[in-house]
Amino acid sequence: MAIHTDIVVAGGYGGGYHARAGQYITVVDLEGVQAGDFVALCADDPSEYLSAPHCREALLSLFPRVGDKLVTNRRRPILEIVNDKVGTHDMTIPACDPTRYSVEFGVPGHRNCLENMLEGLRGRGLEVLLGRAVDGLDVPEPLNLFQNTPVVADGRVGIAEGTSQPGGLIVFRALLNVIGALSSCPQDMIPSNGLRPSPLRLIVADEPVLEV
Amino acid sequence: MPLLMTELPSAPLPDELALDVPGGEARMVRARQGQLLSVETLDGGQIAEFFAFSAVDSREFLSPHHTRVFGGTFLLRMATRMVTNRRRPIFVVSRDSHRRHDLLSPASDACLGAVADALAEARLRPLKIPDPVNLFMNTELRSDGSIRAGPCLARPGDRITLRVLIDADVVVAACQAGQKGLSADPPTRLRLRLTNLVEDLPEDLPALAQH
Repeated sequence: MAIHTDIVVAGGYGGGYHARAGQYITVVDLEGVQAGDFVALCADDPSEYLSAPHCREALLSLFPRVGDKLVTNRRRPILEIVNDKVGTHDMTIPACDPTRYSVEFGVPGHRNCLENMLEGLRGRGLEVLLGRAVDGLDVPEPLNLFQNTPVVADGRVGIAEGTSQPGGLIVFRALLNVIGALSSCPQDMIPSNGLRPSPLRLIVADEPVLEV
Repeated sequence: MPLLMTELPSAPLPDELALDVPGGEARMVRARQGQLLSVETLDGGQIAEFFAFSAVDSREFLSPHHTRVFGGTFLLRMATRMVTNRRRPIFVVSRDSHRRHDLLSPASDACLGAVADALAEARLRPLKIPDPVNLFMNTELRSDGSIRAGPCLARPGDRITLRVLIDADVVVAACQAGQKGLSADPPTRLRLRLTNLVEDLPEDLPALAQH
C-alpha cells in the first residue's frame, strides 16, 4: 500500500499534511485521551475549507459520526468519515490560541493549537497558495478529534476527559484535494488531555489504516 | 449617559440613532462603548444575522465560537458576554424579550452577499466575513448534541438589547436563513437602535421563556 505521509506530532505540537481526493487520512491517538485540532483546506482554493459551523448545519448535530460527509464553507463535501474507533469528537470549540491562555487562564506564552496549526500550514506552503502571509484568520474553526465536549444541563458546555484508548483512531476519505494541519492540543490545565499532552500520528495513504 | 466611570469621559456619546434594515439587505452602524444597541424584528419571524468588528482593528471581531467557550454555554442568555476572537467582551446581553437565539449556525449565502455590500459601502475591508450570531433564530439543542432548526418564533416587536463594551462597527442582515423555512419569506424589516439613556428605549414585550 502506498503511504504518502506518516508523521508523529509530539504532544502539544503541530504538523501539516496534504491529501489528494480519494486518499485516506488516518489520525491515531497513540497514548489515549489526547485531543487533536484538525483543519482541512482546499488545495486548489484555500478560501474554501472544512467548516465546523457548516458541518453542524448539514449534519444537524454538534458531533460527527462514522458515515458523515463533512462539508466546506461553500456547503460541498470535503471529507467522509469512513472508520472511527473512538466516536467522541467535537465540532464547537475554537482552537486554543495565545488569548485562551493569557486572558482565560492568566498564563501568557503558552503553546497553543492555533500557532501549531499555522506552523503546519506554513510548512505545507499555504502562504504560497494564498499569495500572502497567513495569519490566524486563515485557520478555520477546527474539528477537534478525540475531544469530549458534551451538552450538559441547561445547554451548558461540558469539558470532560476524552474517551479514546491508546491506538484509538479515526479515518477520513478525502473527497477533494486538501492541505491541512493537526495539533496535539497543549491544554494541560483542564481535563481535556488528561493533564498531559501526548503524541498523535497522522498517515495519508491509498487505503485506510485500521491497525497501527 | 455614559458608563459610570471613576473619571468622567472626555467626550460625550454620539447622538442616538434608529435605523431600519430593509428585508433582504444589511446595514452597518458604529456603536460606542457604553451605548445600548438594540435589534428588533418589526414584523416578526425574521432572523437577524449579527456581525461586529472592533472599530480600531477589523481583525478583531465578534465570534460566536469564542463566546460559547468564554461563557461555557451553547445558548445566548441574559448577561452573556459576547466576546471577540481575542476573548475580549464586546457586548453583553442586557435585555431580551425573545430569549431564543443561535450561536451555532453559519451565515446564509444571501446574507453574506448583503453583508459584503454593506461593508463595501462603509469602505470596510475585513480579511474575511466571520460567522454570525443569529439573533431570533430558533435552534433547539438536545442533550445528545442533535440540533432541531425550526421557524423563527419572534413576535412583531421582539427585541434584544446589548450594552456595547468595545467601540464596534456592527453589521446586521435581514435575509433568508441558510435553510428554507427558518426565517420570514420574503425577508422583513429589522430596526436597529443606538440609545444612550435606558429611558429612551421603548418598553419590551413580556419575555418568552428561554429554550
